[in-house]
Amino acid sequence: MTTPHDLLPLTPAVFHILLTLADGEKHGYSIMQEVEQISAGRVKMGPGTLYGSIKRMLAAGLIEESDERPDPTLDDERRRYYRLTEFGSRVARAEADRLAALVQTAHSKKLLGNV
Amino acid sequence: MDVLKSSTQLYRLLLRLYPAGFRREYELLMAQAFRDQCRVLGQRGTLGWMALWWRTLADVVRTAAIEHLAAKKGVFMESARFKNHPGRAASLFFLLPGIALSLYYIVTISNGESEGYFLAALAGVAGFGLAWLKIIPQARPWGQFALGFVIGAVSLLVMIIWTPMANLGFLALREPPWPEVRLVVAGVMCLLIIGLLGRWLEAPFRRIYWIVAGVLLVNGVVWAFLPIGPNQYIWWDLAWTWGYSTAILGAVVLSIKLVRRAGIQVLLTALVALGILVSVNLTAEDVAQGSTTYGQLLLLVAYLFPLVICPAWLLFAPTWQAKKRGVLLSWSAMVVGIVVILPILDIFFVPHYFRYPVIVPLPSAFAYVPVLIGLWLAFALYEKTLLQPGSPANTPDSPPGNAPQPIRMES
Repeated sequence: MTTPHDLLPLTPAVFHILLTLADGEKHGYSIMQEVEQISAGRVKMGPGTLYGSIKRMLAAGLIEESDERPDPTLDDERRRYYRLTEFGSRVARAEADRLAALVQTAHSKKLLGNV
Repeated sequence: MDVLKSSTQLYRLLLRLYPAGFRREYELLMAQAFRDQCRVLGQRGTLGWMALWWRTLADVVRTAAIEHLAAKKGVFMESARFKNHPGRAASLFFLLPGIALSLYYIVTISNGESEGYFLAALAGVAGFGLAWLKIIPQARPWGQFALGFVIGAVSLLVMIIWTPMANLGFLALREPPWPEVRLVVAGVMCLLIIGLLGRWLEAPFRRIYWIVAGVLLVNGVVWAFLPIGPNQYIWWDLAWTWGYSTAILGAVVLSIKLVRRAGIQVLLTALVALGILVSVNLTAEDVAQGSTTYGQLLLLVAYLFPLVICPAWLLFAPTWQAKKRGVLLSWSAMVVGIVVILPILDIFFVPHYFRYPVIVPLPSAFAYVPVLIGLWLAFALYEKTLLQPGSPANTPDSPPGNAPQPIRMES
């Protein structure tokens, strides 16, 4: 039985995708856009990185494809939508906790601040 | 010129760099995501297009490599699941005869002594016995030893009987008294090897291959019987060469069929090995003319099959079936290499004066025929006893379940 901690640490690409899907299902391009947005343009994900990560995340049970469309009349039906699984949410939380603990350590060592 | 359209077409072309499986699943989605990017970044003019392509090219190069590695890694991971499989260690024991015989050859050829039949037989006994002990771990201790030694004794007997037969004028002597015996023995042995492997592949060869092989063998026999021409000795020698070559060709036709059925991996390995064999042969001819080093080099190259290719295959082949094929084919390739390819090279490329060192040890190669029989037997029995459905030993080769896969392949 795999636990969320078995998959940590996540790669930046995987963690960013989990973050973007935390507030609802999205298709590939909207994930790419939001990743760029939440990382303030520091992470620019190409289609290869995105779908390579998605492939592995599907295999790991972190995300799943969604059959529903937010609004079928406004959307290209060839698009595939992805959403977090319960396990994916737990993995994302575990990774966030891990990063928070690291930040806490950095803070205690007075490493936080303007560089 | 429609930049969006041509960019999309170019990107579709680049997608061919990804592995086929990945492409089947995600090609359309990736192309669509790229089009979406084009629509947004393309509005920023030339700089936007340049930025997009710079980013895209880097992405394609990096992730195509990652996906290829991931595809390979899947194979290696399956191989890793084989790590504790009892058959893995057992298969390695099949290397013992080859190792022992190789060492013995190096020593005896250096000293100018004769072939190591006896040691080959002993090594065969050790190999079969140990393999048998390993592949039936559930058996009672006494039963293991008994079975091991029974198999070993049978192997020994076969080797002792077989090697003098092989020596019966087939390859050891340049001008033996009965050329027809050579051809019959050659044909029978080729068919035996191929027939055994064919049975192992559980699919009979189509009749046409047997007909081709039969015609070539008959052709060889007929030519071998024709002592004609002004200088009978020369013509006889020529006929012998031709007859022998056609007999070999028959075997090669069947071998190709076998290799094709076994898969492209096997074919590529055989080609690489053949290339090494030929190149070493030609180099050796130049640098070691007249020296016994020449024969040693050729034999050592032939031993690449059981000593290098076989263990590599055992380690990296993804499934039990693939490992089995690898072991059997690497050994049979070595036999074919020594029995078939080396004589061809000898006949066509090596000056007559330098043939002797190569020809002398060749009959010992037939000691490997019982090795092949033993391998086939061991694999068959192993599958019968341990690879039954539901057997714990079958789990390493069973398809992966729903366990999450590693997801740290890319950043």
